[in-house]
Amino acid sequence: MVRTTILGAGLLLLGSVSLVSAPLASETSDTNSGIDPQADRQALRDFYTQRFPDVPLEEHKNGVYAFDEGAREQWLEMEDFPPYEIAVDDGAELYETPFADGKGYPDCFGDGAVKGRYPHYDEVRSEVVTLEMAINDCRADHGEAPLAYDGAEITRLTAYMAYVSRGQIIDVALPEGEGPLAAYEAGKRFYSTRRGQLNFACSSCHVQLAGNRLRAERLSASLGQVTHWPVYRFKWQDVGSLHLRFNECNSQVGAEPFPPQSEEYRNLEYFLSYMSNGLALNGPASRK
Amino acid sequence: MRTALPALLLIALAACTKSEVPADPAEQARAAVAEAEAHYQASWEAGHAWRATKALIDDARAALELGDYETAASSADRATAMAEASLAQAEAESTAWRDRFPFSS
Repeated sequence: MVRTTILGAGLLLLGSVSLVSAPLASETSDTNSGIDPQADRQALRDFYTQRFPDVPLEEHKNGVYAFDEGAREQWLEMEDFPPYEIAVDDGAELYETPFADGKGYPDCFGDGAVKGRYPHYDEVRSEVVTLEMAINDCRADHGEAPLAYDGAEITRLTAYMAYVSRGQIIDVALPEGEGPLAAYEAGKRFYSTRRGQLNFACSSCHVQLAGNRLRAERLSASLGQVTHWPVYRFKWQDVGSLHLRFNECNSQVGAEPFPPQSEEYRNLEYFLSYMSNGLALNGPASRK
Repeated sequence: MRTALPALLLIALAACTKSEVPADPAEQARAAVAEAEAHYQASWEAGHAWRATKALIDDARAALELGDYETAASSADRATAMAEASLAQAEAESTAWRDRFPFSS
């Protein structure tokens, strides 16, 4: 407990250090709510431009490999025989396998290159809809049972769909109106809120400490964190989803994680995706 | 986003309705575990549950099953203290996060 208190006090001190100047004003600021996604995005981009002056912003789609030369070389060599290839092949087979009613995923998603459409805020459902949810919606429309969000089958499907969506530019619509703004703000709040026994926010590592080492690992920037999922992680020895990574990050700081596709994680994905607008999708990928 | 206020009210309510501390060690241990569970539930509802709290409650329950009431009560008390810390975190973070993005954390 004493160790935890000392660590917490240290982090609070760390948190008190202001790193850059105030955010830019936005021409489209929502003056009623005080929520201004465009200004947030511009401020974050300015922050990383200052933090990594030699790294073009679009390079952050490659995570730490954007600024860690040694790790980048190893990663590029691994890409010669990408470990996610089997998942993509499995996903292609699953994608083409018809449902019991004779229809299939192509009836819902065409050639599967639709990852750029997700996540988005669905006004009818009043919630953020992700690709994983859309897959289960498609299954439900055709009388199929939903896939487990933490299961292998949905991850292989998304690996294939990410692969055929490569190169699409993230273009999440500017959150406007009560519902989208609330979801955006909830995601931003989650990203900025300290939680767990170690008292870390997502932004502690990926904004304030981005580029530094946490033990043996370099910490990636927030920009680009959503471009390359699902990911084959050598730690997992398998492909896993973005929400599995959220879950792991929360666990690592001692917080009880939320379930994959929970409202908390979908709003977080929505916020991070809006922050990454303009970056190209490049999933699936491999990471340590 | 959840806030810690309803959770804190629940705990306050539970404290108001709590009966006197039982003299029987088994009853004391059970009461301590129940209190820890209520605090943990409150921290979960506030969106700030800690894994270590749950682990301590699991330890307390296991000790209770074995009839080790001293260990059960001790683990439960630690879990309660930890849950209180997580609720304090939830309360502090309900406003602190606003000053954090994107410049520091």
